[in-house]
Amino acid sequence: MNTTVVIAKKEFSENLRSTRFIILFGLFLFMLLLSAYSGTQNYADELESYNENMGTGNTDIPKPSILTAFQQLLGSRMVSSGITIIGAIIGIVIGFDAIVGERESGTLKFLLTQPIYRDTLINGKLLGFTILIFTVVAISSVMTIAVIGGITGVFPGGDELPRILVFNVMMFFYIMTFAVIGLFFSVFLKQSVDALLAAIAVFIIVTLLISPVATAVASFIAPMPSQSQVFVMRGGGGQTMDVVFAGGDRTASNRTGTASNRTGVSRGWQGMGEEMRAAMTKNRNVMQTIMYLSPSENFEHVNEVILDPYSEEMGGGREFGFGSQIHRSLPEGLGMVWGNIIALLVWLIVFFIASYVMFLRQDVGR
Amino acid sequence: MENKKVNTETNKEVMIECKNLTKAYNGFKALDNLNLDIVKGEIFAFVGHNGAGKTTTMNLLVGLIEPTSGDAFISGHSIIKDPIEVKKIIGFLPENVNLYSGLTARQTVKYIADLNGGVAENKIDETLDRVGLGKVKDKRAGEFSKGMKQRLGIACVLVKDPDVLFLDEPTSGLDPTGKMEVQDLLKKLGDEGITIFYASHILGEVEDIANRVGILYQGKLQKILEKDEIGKVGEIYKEISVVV
Repeated sequence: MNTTVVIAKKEFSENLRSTRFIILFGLFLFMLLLSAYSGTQNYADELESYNENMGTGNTDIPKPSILTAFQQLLGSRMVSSGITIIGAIIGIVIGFDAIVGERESGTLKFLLTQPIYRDTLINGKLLGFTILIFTVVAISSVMTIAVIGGITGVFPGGDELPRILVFNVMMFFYIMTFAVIGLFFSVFLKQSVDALLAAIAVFIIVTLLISPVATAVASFIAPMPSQSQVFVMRGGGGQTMDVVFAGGDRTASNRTGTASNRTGVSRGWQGMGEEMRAAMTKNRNVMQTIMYLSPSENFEHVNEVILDPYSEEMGGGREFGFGSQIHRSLPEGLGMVWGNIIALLVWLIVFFIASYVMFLRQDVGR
Repeated sequence: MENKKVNTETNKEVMIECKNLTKAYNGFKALDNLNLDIVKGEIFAFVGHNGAGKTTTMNLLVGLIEPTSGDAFISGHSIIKDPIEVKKIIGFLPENVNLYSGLTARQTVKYIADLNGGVAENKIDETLDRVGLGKVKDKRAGEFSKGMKQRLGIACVLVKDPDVLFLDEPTSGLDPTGKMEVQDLLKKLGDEGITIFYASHILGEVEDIANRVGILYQGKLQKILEKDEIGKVGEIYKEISVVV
């Protein structure tokens, strides 16, 4: 057997037996299935609303897609979802002691005196992560589809399946990114506890702190007009959507929205003053540029667009669940978020190359 | 490239040959100009205090670090030019190695065997029997005592049938029973004709096992004691440390 595969196999089976991995994976599945269940309720509500509209003769509203249920997996727009947080932690836990753990236990010297090259070891570790994370994503995906399909009686098909596939691919890359960030610190630092803390610090910065930082920087570089403006729009589906623009910050209390209230918000945006729109666009662009630094933000954003065929760009910025009733195809959706996909992959590639180079040059004898 | 050498006095193959082997860190010579020949079947012990250069020598010979100058040959293979060839024929047990606690003894040995191209299943069991772990082969290494873990480490080293065995402080941190178990095992391996290069800072323990003892002090090989002088290793070491 190829030695890279031998190392990958051992890495995979050792992680599968590890209590910390089992607990985290269990928690991840629990969060995912809970969100899936909640998503089925959303789907049922939208279906009911759609049927009501049909009854009143309002036939220009598209029938809700089962993707509505999958959109709930990403949680609310306000906070990172459980799967974003736990997915990152799973990645970190897989990667943080990959090398430093071997160094602490003395097995690194032991392994490197076997007839293998150093890059075989790190490649084997990466292959092991890949198989493990693929397994995590595959099991999660099958279970989510089973739960959503089992409860609603509707299974994804047609245009929905490739979108769910892209969602899972993104989840895979997202977890891999944090595994490789963990690997980087595992090579760089001398104690596993330090590697764990450093990887968690990066996670906190790029997931939780980046939004306020981006807001502050955007307000400084591209300040918004001083007067706060509040738009309150009531959609035809009976759901209220509040979009608050205050000092460059924005919140959207309903991320998905129905097709009818999308039209309402789009009109609101178009009716906004030219100056206000330009300022908001500039501010939003600065924020988005900074947010590209966040794997979590990129992951969530790509999936928001992919799982919501009605998402659209507004005023040079992006809003989701708002806008027109135009159904965007998957390639069109991917075209909207290619920058985020690349930004996510850049994290993965840069941290892996850095880990790789550092490990090959490291003095393991001391 | 293989370039085997035979010792003319003993007519035995030289398994370890060091030629002006030197390792310096920022100008500090951790190992200074080591010249040494160890023949097939010999148990050579390297003694010296902590920091004398034993581990540096060991790390150089097993290909973990590269020399600043000089070279060494294991069964004719240069540690600089043929590190992978060297690693195929050696077994190295680092100091205080704590093998994978989540794997069973059998899985651990199999893992190392697979990294060396794999061996027959019964060879794994035989190796575990050889180090006295046959009855606990399906137990996780995390449940083992320190002595058992050390024997598991030796099993991992032996499963590839090495020509030369490098052991860095193999009894370090063991209780008296564990020490005895490992020492007995080393004697047994010596009787089987395996060349062993063994580093220790405990002078007394090398007396029973080694055929020759090298005294390393401040990175320099000060003296090599032949079999009949090994009993005096303590006195000689004391003299050297006073003189140097």
